[in-house]
Amino acid sequence: MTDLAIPLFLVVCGIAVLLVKDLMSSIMIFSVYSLMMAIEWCRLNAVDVAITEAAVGAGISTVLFLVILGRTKSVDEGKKHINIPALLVALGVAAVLLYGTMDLPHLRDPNIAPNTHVVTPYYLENSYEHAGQLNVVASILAYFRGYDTLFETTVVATAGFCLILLLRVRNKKPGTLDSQKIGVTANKKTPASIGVKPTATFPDVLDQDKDIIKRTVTKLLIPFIQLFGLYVIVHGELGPGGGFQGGVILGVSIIVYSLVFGFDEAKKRMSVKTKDLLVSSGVLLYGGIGVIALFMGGNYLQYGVLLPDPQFASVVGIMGIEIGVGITVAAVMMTLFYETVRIDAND
Amino acid sequence: MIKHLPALLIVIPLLVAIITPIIGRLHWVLSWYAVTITTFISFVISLLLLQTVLVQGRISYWMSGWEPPFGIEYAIDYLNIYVIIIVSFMAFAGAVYSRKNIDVEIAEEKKPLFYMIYLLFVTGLLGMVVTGDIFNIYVLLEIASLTGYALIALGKKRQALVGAYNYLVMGTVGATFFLLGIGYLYLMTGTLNIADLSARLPEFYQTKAIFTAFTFIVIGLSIKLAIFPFHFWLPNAYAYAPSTVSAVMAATGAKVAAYVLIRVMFTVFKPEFYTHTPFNLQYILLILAVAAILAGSIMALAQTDIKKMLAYSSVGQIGYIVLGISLMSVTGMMGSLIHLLNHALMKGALFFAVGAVVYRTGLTSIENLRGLGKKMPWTMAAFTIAALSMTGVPLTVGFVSKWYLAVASIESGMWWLVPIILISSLLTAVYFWRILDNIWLKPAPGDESHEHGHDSHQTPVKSNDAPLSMLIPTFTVAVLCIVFGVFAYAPVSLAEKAAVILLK
Amino acid sequence: MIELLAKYNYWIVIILLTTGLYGVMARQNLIKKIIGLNVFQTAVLLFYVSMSKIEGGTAPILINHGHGPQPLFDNPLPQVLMLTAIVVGISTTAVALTFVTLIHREYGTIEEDQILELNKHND
Repeated sequence: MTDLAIPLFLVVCGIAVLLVKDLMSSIMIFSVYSLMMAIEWCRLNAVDVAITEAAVGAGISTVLFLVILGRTKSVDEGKKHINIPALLVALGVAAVLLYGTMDLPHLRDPNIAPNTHVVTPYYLENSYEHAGQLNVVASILAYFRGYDTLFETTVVATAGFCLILLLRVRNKKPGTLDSQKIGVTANKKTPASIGVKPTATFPDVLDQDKDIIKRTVTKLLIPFIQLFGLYVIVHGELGPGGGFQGGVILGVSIIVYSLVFGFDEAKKRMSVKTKDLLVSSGVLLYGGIGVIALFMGGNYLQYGVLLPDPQFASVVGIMGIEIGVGITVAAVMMTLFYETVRIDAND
Repeated sequence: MIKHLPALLIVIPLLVAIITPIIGRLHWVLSWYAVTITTFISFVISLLLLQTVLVQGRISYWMSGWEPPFGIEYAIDYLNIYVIIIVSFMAFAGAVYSRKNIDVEIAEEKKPLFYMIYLLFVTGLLGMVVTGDIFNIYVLLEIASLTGYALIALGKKRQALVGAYNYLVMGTVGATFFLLGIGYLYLMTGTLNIADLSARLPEFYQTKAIFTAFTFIVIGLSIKLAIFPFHFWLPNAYAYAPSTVSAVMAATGAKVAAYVLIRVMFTVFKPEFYTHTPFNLQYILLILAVAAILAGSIMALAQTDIKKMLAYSSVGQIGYIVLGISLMSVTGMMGSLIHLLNHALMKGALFFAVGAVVYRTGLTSIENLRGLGKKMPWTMAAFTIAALSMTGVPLTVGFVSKWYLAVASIESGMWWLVPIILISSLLTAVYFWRILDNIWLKPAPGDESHEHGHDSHQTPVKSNDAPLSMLIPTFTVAVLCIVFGVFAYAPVSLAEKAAVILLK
Repeated sequence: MIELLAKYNYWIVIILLTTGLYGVMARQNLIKKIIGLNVFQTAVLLFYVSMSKIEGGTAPILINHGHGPQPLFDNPLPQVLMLTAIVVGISTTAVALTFVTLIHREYGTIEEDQILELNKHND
C-alpha cells in the first residue's frame, strides 16, 4: 500500500496545479510535483533519472517559470470555465489508453519482452567489458546509444541559441548596466483598449540582494556546488550521475550567484561571450570525438578505435563526451537564465 | 570516407551549424556561405547515396560500431533516399534564396543565428529520414520542431509569435503522443530498431496494446503533418513566418512527417496489420484525406492574404498524399510519393515567388499583386508555372501525381474519388485564376491613371524584379515542375521501387 | 478487477496524462498551458520508468567491478530514454516561455481570449 502513497500524491498535485487560480501557487505546486516525481524515480530505482528530474524539473523549470512570471507581471488567471469539447477530447484519449492497458503486461514482471529480448541483457553484460562503465545507464547513454545523446545535447544547445536569437537585443549603448532601467516605450494596441488593467509588480530579478545572511551563505556554498557538479559529471561511470546532471548543477551555481549578488556581478564572473562559446564547444567536443573515431578507422562515435586498448579507449571517449555534455548543459542553463532575465529596450 | 557518407550527411551540417554563429561574428555573410555550401554538400552526398542504393538496395550504417538492435542504425532504402534528395535540394535552394530575402525580415545582428537555426532545422529533418531507430526519430523530430518554432517566431508581425506558440503547443502534444506510442511498442517487443520491430510485431497484431500504440503514433504524426482535423496550427504558422522559412518549411517539413507516417505504417507495421484492426483504418484515413482535400481548397478560396491561401492549399495537398497512403496499393503509394516531390517543388516555388513580392513591396494581400506581371515578369512567370502545376495541367508535375492517384483510385474500386480529385483541381484553378488575373490582366494601382491618358504618352513600366539570388532558386524550382512533368521517368521509377518494397 | 488494480501505475499515468492534456487545451493563460504540457510530458515519463522496474530488481549499476555474479537489475534502457525526454522537455519549456514573454511584450497580455480579441482589431 505504501507503494501507492507517492503516486496518489502526484495525482493530487497534478490536478491541483491546474485548478489553482493564482499562477505563483501553481508554479510552486508544480515544483513540489517535480520533486515528488524525482523521489518516485528513486523508489523505482531509476537513480540517474531522479537526479536529472530533481535538477531540471524541480530546479531549472521553476526558476524559468518564476522569471517569466515576473516579466509578464501576471498574478491571476482570467476567468475560467469548463471547456466541454476539451474535456471530451481528453476523456476520449483516456478511454483509448484504458482500452490499450487491458492487455499490457503486469508491472515488475521479469518476463516481459523488454527484459527478455536480447537487447537489455546485452547491455548489462557488456557494459563494463566493452564500455568500461559500471553505471549501465551511462554506458547506454554514452556509447551504445551515444548517437542519440549527441542530438540530445544538440537539443539543449538549440534551446539556448533559440533564446539568444529571440530575446537578445543589441541596441544598447556601451557601458549601460543591465540593471539601469531603460524607458518604457508606448505599445501598440494594448489590453487597455479592451478594458483590461495590468496587475501586480515583482521585485526585479536583476538587483542585488542586500541581505547579509544570503550573501555569506551563498559565497560559502557556491564552491561546493561547483565541486559537486564536477564530481557528478566525472563520477557518472561508476555511480549515478553523468554529464547532464553535473552540467545542470554547474549552471545552477552561477544562477544562484546572480540571484544573490546581482546580474552585473554574475556577468563579470561568466561573461556572455564566454558562455556563448561554451554552448557551442560542448557539442563540438562531442561531435569532434566522433569525427576522430572516423579518422582512426572506426564508425562515427566508435570510441573503441581511439586508442589501442578498446576498453580504455571507451572510458576515455566516454569521459570526453560527458565533459562535452556537461559544458554545453552548464552553459545553456546559464543562457536560459541570462537571456530571460535581462531588461531589453521595450520592457 | 565513402563508407561513412550516411553519418557525414548529418554530422557535417550539425558541426557546421554549431560553429556558424562564431563565424558569423566577423560578417554575417560568412554564415550564409557556410550554410549554402553545407546544404549543397548534403545534396551531393544524397546523390552519391542514391547511386549506392541503386546498386546495393539497402545501406546499413552502424553508429558507434554497435550492430543493431544494440546500437542505432542508419538504414537507407529507396524510400529514404527519395525524401533525402528532395529535402536537401529544397534546403539548398532556400539557403541561396535567403541571402537577399532576409534583409527585409531579419535584423542584421540576428542573421548568423538565423542561419545556424536554419541549418539545425535541416539537420533535424534529414536526421529523421535517414535513421533506422524509432527513438532516434523522436529526438531528431524535436530538434526539427524546436528550430521550426523559433524560425516562425522571427516573422515581423506579432501574429507570428502567437502562431509559433500555438504550433509549439500542438507540436509538443503530437511529439509526446508519438513518444507514448513508442513506449507501448517497446513494452511489447523490447526493441527500438525499425527493422527489428518489423520482425517482432506481427505476433502482437491482435493485441489492444499494439493497436493503441499505432493509434497514438499516427495521431502524433498527423498533428505534425497537419492532416485534417489537426491542421489548425498550419495556416498561421506558414502565413506569418519569414518568407524563406515559409517556403522551406512548406516544402520539407510536411514531407518528412509524411515519410515517418509511411515508414511506421508500412515498415514498422506491415500491411497485414490492417486486417486485424477492430475497425477499418483504411476508410478512416480515406475520409480524412478527402475532408482535407475539400476543406483545404474551400478555405483557400476564402482568403485575401496570399500566404494564408497557400497555407490552406497545403492542407489540401497533404490530403492528396494521405489519400495515396490510404489506398494501400502500389499505384496509390506511387501517387503519394510523386506528390511528395511535386508539392515540395510547387509550393516551394510559390512561396519563393511570394517572398520576392514581399521583398519588393512588403505586402502579401492578393489585391497587391495587381499589375505585377509587368513589374516582376520573371518572378510572376515562375509563380504562374507553379500555379498551373498545382492545378494539374498536363506536362507539369502536378498532373503526373494526380494521374497516379486517379488510376490508383480506380484500381481499388473507389471510382467516387476521381470526381473529388477533379473538383478540387477545379477549385485550385479558381483560386489561382483570381491571382493570375490580378497579376497579368489587371493594371497596377498606380498605373490606372495612365490607362485614361493618351496612347502616345504611355510610359514604359519599369521592371523591378527580384534580385538574382532570389530569382534563380525561384525560377529553377518552377522550371523543375515542368522538367519532371515531361521527363517523369526518374522520380516515377524511384517511387515505384520504394512503393514495391513498402507494400510487399 | 484485481488485475486492473494491480496495474495501478498505468492508471496514474492515464489520469495525469488526461489532466495535463485538458490543462493544455482548456486553460486560457499561456503559462498555465505550458504547465499543463509539462504535466502531460511527465505522465509519459512515469509510463516509461514504470516499465523499467522488475520485481526484486535494483538500480542498474554493476558491483564488484563487473566481475562475479550480479544482482537482478532493473531495465536501464527506458531510463536512458527518459533522460532524453526530460532534457527535451525543459528545452521545449524554455522556448515556450520565451514566446510567452515576447507575446506579453507585443500584446500586453498572456490570456488567450484577450490575444484573439486583439488580433481581430489588427487585420
